[in-house]
Amino acid sequence: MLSYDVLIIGGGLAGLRAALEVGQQAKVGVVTKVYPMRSHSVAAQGGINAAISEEDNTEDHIYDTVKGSDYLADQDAVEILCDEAPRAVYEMDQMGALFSRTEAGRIAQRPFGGQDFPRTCYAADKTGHILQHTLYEQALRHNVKVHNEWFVLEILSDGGEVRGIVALDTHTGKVETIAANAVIVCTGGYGRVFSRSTNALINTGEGMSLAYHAGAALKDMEFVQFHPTTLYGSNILISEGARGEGGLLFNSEGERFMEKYAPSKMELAPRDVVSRSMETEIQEGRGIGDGYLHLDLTGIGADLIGDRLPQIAELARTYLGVDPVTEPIPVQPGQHYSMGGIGTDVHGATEVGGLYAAGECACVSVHGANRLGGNSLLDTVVFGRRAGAAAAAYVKGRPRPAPIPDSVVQEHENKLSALLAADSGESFSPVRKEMEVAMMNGAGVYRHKDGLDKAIDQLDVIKKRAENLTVSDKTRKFNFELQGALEFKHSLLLAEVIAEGARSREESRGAHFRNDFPERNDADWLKHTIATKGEDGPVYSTSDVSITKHQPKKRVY
Amino acid sequence: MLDKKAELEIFRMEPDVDEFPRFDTFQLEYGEHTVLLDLLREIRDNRDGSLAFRSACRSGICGSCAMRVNGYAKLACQTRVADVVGKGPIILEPLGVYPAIKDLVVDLEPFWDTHNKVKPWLEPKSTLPDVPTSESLMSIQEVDKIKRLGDCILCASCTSSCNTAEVEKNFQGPAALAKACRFAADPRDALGAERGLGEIKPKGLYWCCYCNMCTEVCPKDVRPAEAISMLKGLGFTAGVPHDIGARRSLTFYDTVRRWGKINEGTLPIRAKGIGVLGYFPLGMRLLARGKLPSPFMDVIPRIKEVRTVYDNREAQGDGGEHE
Repeated sequence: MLSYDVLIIGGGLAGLRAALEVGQQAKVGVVTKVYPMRSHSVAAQGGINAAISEEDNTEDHIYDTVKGSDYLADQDAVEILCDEAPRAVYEMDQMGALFSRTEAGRIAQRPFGGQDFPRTCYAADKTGHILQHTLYEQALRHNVKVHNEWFVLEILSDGGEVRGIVALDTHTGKVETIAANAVIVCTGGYGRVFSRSTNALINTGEGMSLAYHAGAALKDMEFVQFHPTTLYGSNILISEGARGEGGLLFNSEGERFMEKYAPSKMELAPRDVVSRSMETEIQEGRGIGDGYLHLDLTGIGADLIGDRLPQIAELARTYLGVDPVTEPIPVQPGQHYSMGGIGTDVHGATEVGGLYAAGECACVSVHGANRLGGNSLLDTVVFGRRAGAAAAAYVKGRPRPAPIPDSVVQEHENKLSALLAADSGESFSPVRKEMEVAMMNGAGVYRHKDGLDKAIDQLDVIKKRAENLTVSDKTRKFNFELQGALEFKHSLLLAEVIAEGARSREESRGAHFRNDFPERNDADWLKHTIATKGEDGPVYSTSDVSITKHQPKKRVY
Repeated sequence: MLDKKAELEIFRMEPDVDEFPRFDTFQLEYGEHTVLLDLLREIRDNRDGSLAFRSACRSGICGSCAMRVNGYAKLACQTRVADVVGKGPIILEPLGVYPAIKDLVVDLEPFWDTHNKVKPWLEPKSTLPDVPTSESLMSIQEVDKIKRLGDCILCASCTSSCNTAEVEKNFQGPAALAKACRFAADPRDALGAERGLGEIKPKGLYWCCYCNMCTEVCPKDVRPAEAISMLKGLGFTAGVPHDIGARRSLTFYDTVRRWGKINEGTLPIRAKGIGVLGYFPLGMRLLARGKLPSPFMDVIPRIKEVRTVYDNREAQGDGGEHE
């Protein structure tokens, strides 16, 4: 039977960074449902924040992050994130990352939203791609064992401690188990819970759900980031770097409307502010066509676009037939990132012994109610490394992980066989579509009790339907339909927790905006939402926010 | 607006069940901006849930959905239907070279295996500090030189279209060689061109047959064929011992400088070394039929001009003299 000291689920940036760290001290393995190079980390475009310039300083990075989070981030965690940022970026450089450079040969930086300094280190508009390749290359160099295209079915825990995992090897169609003393969940976001998302089709969020079922808490799930500039229709990401390099936003009347909403930061206000402004413009009838706005890069010039924004220029040409050198790009806000996730401490540890999480699937929390652009790549490498180090320390001196009984395999075999054997019932795909639309309508950029009530009612019906699914492909190898049905059930749990959290939080903070409670309410809601597994579904509670230097004040840009 | 109709013929094969593949036909509607992946998702979501294909990012950066479209490797997510629709149906097949497993899914393990053998990583020049306090300086020009190679998404379009890889499974292939070149030319790297490239197993650099298919099909304009040339130059400059292909090139180079033309008599001896003895019977037959040119030949009359070309090119440096 396979066995590792530390097993990592997910081969994106957080997972590989954790693996490199563990590998120096303990036996490590990675399971991933796609080849690591297909992880959605590759799609991050704009950059990674670090105060590496002599004219910048870490205290400012901390303040910008805390203010950007609308004071919901845990400030002790933010201090670690920003303190370790230069080191994390230098490490990536030394591992071979091909950052863009200044004339002086240093790593180039650009302005990003919600920050008072051009602090975002970048590799053109392909920063995630460059970083992911770099970590993958180093994982090869250090012989990290990766189980490719394995879909995890369960994280096993017993007596409050992790025992390992159960997974479906999609190449063989067989159920496998891996014993491990520690498991680090690095599975990224759940964008596909929403109908309009920048995320990959693989971002269905099962890592968060698996950790929840193993006993970990989900934290602040109602905080969902909507990126302002996604390509109209496909919702493919157009980097904030486009605005950082000088891109402007216009409505149907040719107005640079951000003047009204964020007169000092304009297009480079934080994402929650810009997305709400755009949504307001569209709702008040100043959208273009049937609901988009213009991102105008024509003032930047062909050379700069070719040098710094080549990918987004290509995306606009391919997916909309628009050449951004000469025409504005039609854009609309779309779901992009989850501030919430598996609740962890600053070492990535959950309440379950040996269970860790890092990256987008985790909530330390460094992003609070709204993440700044450029802080997510940073989060993956800083907390990926920290979780790896903590997990390696946790397993040190422990006996080899106990073998997993065959009955566990049998139990999962039975479940899969039952699902494959079911002849009556619905295909998951249309049901999933209904969930996505219900979430977009009820728990989108603007929220209201009535809309959330409706979404939750719809989810209740969808949950019942999800108990009665059928799969037309009865084979076991590369059965994407079977995998889709399993992913959908996980997504549905997250949808419920997001909507419930949004309904109970009767205030507006960061990316969570309630039309019926438009003000932030620190007296009642300066706290985290916690969801844990109970007898009949999630049980909700709250926990305190760590505040060190920055007392909450009104957030104006 | 989905106002046009396309017909797709898709390669289908169920593992352990079908002895031979079949093609299924689907009629689908598409619009100006519809891409092939949209149609594949429409089929899997609403028509035939069993259709197997890999996909993830939808935006041409993860490399999952490479497949053959009308015979050429492309990413389904960045191929607009309008650009590949013709008189007949659009034909979708799994990538070449690698074994098909199920429908459009191929076994990519051999692709990763050869990729992993070129040491596709940065080998630092010195032991790195545990906590680095600065970046290594690199000029914009140094980054620009390899930036294109850094754009590779390892989708396997090139290697699965490579004519050498088709017949020689041990050939490292264009994706791996482009990656090797990306590091060989990185000033921060310690290994340079010494990445096991000249070794016979797997088949190295000189098995490239210059067909340029890799560059033709690359969805990210990485131009692996140029990388292979560049890598040869880097190897010569660094004095890396290469295989028979390299020695053959060197022999060309030397004999043309000396005589102004290729010396076909000495070429096999110098390229193959002692191994040429294995060709003794063939050599005798060639000699008997007057097909073996004499190794003793005259220098061409205008040899000075040839040598001037050599001298000028070498003065330019940059390893370009052997390209």
